[in-house]
Amino acid sequence: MTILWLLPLLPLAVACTAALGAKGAWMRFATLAASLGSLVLSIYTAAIVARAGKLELISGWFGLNALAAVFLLLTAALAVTAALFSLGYVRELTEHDTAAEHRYYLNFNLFVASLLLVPLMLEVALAWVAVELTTLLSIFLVGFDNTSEALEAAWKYAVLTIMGATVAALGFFLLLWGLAQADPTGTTGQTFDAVVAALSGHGAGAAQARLRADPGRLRHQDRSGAGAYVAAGRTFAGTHAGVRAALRHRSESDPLRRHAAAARVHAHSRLPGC
Amino acid sequence: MDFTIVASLNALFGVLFLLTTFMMLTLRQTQAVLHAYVAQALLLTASTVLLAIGRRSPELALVAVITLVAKPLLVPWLITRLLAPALRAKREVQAVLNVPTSLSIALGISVTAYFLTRPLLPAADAVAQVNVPIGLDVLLLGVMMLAIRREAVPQLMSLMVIDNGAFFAGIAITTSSALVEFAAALEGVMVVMIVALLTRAIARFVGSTEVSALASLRERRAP
Repeated sequence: MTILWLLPLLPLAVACTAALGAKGAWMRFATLAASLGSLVLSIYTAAIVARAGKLELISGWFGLNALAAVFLLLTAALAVTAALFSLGYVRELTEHDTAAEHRYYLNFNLFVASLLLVPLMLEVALAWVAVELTTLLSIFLVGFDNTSEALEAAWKYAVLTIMGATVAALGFFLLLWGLAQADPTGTTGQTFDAVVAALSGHGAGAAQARLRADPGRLRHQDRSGAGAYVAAGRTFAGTHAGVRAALRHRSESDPLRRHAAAARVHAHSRLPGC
Repeated sequence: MDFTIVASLNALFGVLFLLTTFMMLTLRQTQAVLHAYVAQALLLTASTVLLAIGRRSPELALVAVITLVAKPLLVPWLITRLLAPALRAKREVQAVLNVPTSLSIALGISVTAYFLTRPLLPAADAVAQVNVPIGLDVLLLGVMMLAIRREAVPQLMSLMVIDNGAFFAGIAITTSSALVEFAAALEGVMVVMIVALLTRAIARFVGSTEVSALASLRERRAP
């Protein structure tokens, strides 16, 4: 289903036009149209998934399953809302400053593209890389108006979220390790610890994103649809990756798979040096 | 090569990897911290090469090549190129804690990291038994470095140390593909570029890269 490619490509194309210096009115219209287009495509692909169960563009790597379709719908719906609220907010904030408006729409569309990419990654580790990409692309959205207050917010957001994402990545590595060894070796506790580590790291990022959307704490973001979108979108993306990993754990607990995992562990223990 | 020899060599590189982190904690010159980071990244690459040999994995060999290009070559080049004025302007790295106190806390963190990972080690092979505790230790030491440094460039390098720690543990316990590692390495380079651009913007608008002075967004108590 090549239509899947269009989901992140629509906002990416608008980001390209913003980078090339398109007019303000065009960017506002194109951003809203791309968000609406992504939502329509999400509904269409979700309907296909509801019938077929799964869509795969590159087997095992790129596609859409039932769980991902739910998150894709939520993300696309949020993108439309944020694009709609951005119209008034950006016009008011960037009066006579077309460069700032360009920056906003460039960053906004790149962020939307990265968020739409997360549910489309069938490989769990690559989905996690996409989640981290959302972290990076939201940094400029936090500090886009280039005031000292906004840059301070962007710096603190960048440091905490990058650190949180890396700690979460180690938790994710441990989780995959626990899954590979499965239950026969009694590593359920290890898997649980890894989930906690991954969620703690992601939690640091999500909490910071929510901080950006909290009007009492950061004045320059108080009317921004983007602030709320950063918070909600990143929470969706992280939750999606976590749930996918947990579901994979469940399928690993299947008796046949457990038997296979036990055989793998037994074979591994016979390697020299183990 | 025999897996026992691989594991022994890997343990040696692991110890050196940890020592470079301690070295970075004690150094007070930005350029020297950058050189220590390069040494650490090279040791990480060496550990990946050993794993590729020990496990006879061409994919891990590809990961080693990606690591070599991204971490000890591209990242320092980008930092030097994008942040040359910040590297030259202020050579002395300011920190909240002095060296003896930093080292004492670091020692405590190392012992804690070992005890935190101990329950996981019975399920691990000889390489993972070294990489997991040292990786977590380096990650936590990187977090500490991030907390005690006042300047933007050393804080950026602390983020890279945290990444190295997670990667050092990760290569021993996961079997992810080279494509995933490539994407992760590309993202590491993006982190450096984005944080470096942010540092430049801070230097331009605020007049300094001393990020600890940015304190206008403190949480206020409700009246």
